[in-house]
Amino acid sequence: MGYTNGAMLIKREITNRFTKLYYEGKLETEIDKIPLIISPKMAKKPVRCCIYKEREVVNNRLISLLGIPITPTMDELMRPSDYIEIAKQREETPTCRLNIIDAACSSCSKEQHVVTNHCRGCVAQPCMLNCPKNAISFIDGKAEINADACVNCGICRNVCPFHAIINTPVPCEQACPVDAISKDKYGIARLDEDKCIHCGKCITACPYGAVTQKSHLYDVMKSIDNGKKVIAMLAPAVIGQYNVDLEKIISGVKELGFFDVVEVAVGAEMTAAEEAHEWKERMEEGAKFMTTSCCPAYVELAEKHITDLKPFVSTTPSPMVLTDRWVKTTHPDAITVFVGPCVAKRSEAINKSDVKYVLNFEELGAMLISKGIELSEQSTDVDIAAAGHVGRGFAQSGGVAAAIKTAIPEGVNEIIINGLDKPNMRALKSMGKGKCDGNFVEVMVCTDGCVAGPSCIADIRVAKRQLAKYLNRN
Amino acid sequence: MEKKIKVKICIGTLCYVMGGSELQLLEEHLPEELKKRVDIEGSICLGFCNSNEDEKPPFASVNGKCVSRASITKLINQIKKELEDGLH
Repeated sequence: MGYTNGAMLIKREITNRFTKLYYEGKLETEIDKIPLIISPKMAKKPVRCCIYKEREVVNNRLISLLGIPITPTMDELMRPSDYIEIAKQREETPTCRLNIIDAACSSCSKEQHVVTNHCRGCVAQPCMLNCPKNAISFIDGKAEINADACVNCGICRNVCPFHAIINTPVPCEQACPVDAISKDKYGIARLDEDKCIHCGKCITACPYGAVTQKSHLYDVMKSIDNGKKVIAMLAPAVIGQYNVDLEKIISGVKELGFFDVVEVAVGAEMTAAEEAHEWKERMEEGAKFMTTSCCPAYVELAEKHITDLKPFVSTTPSPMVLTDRWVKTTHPDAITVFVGPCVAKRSEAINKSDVKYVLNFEELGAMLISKGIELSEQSTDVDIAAAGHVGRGFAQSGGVAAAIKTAIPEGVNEIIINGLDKPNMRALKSMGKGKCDGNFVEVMVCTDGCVAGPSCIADIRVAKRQLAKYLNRN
Repeated sequence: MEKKIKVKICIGTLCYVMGGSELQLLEEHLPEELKKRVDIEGSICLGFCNSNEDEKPPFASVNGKCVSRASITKLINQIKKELEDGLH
C-alpha cells in the first residue's frame, strides 16, 4: 500500500476486534456487537449515509472474516453469530472467490469525461477541435460533452490548457487488468469468476472497501485450538513488513501457537534450482523463451486470458508448493498455512496445492495484536539457516531472474515484467505470439513484486528498504 | 542552545499494522529548516492506545502531545505549530 487509506484501516480495525474476541473466548456472544461499537448511536458524522448502512457493511465484513461467501441471495436475517457454527463445523477450505459487499458498493456512475466549471470557453477550443468523435460542442460559451458519443479517449482532457476536463473512472473497473469486474443492472459491481485472476487490484482500488476476501482466520485459530499440528509458512515478503528482523517475526508467530514456523524462501531456492534446470533443457530443445510460474495471478492470466503463453510458462512448482512438500516430508500430518501479501495465493493454495489455509499480513498482524505479542520484544534466538538470500529475493521484482542468473551465470537474457499495466499486458500478449527479445521472462503482477502485494501492511518504500537492509546484513 | 522539538513515533506492532509504517520516512520528509530542530525517536508503545477509544492508531507524540491517526503531513504541521508556540 502506497498511501494511507481509510477504507483499509477500518477493515483492519474490524479484523483486530474479531481476533481479539476470538482469543477472549467471546466471539459467539459478542461478534454482533462489533458493528455497534464501530458505528455507535451517537456517532459524529457517519462516513456513509447513515449508521445503519455502516453497520450492515461491518456485518458483511464479519461474515467474510468467518470465511462465508456474500451473495445477493443470502439470508438477510442471519447475523454474523449465526454463521459461527458453520465456520466451526467446516472441514473444507473456503473458496477463493472474492466477496463483494453490496451495501458497501457505492454504484459509482459509469466512467465519463466531464467539463468542470473551470472551462473558460477559450478561443482555441482544442477540446472540440481535437475530439475524434465530434462529441464536444460549445453551449453558452462553455464546452459540453455528449456522453452518448464520448468514448473516453481522454484527448480533450489532455489538450485543455486549463485542466478543466476531468475523468471520473470506476476505480474497480479501471484497476482490473482483465475486465472481470463490471456492474449489474442495479449498478453494483459483480465479479466474473471465469475471468478473475485474483490479483486483488480491485480490493485496493475500491474507495469504499466493497471487495473483500473470504478469510481463513477462523479456521486457522480453530485448528490451533483443536491441537492440530499447524505450521506457518512465511512468504519472503514478510521481511519488509513488521519493522523488526525476520528472527523476531518468526519468534512472534510461534507464540501464536503454531507447531512450527518456516520460511517459504526455502522453497524459493528449490524453485530457482529446478527452474534453472528446466530453462536449460527447454533452451536445448529449441524453445524461444520461458516465463516464471511463481506468481499465481500471472499463471491464472496465462490460463484464462493469454492462453498462447501457457506453453511458455515454467512447469516448476511455486515456492509455496515446494515449501509445503518439504514441510510434509518431516510432518506428513501437518496442516500448512501460507502467510503472505497475496490474494491469488489463496486460489493457488486451494485449487493447485496441498496447502490448507492462507493468511495475509493484515490477518497475521491482527492475531499478533490480539494476543498482545509485541514483535520488537521477541527473541532473536531462532534458527533460520534453512533459507538463503537467493530465495528471500523472490519478494521483489527482479529477484527471480537474479536467482536464475546465479544458478546459470551465462546465456540468460532476462525480460522483467514488473506489474500488469497496459504496456505490460500488450508485451505479454505479443510474447504469446512468440515475439520476445529475451529468453527468460520474469512476471510479477504486482508492481515492485510481492513486497507491494495487496495485503501488505507496510508502506512500499519502507518495505523495500527493510528487505534490502536484511539482505545486505549477512 | 535552542531546545529541540521531541517527536516520538510508536513502532509497536499495533501502530505499525494500522498504517504507521510511513512514519519511518518522517526524517527525510522534514523540510530542510526543520531538520536540525527536531529529535525523532521510536518507542514501543506511547500508551495512547488504551486511553481513549476515540483516538485511533497510529500514534506519535510531539513534545509529549498525542497525535492520533498520525501521518507525515500531520506530524510536520504539529512540529511547526510547536515551534510557533515556542516563540510566544
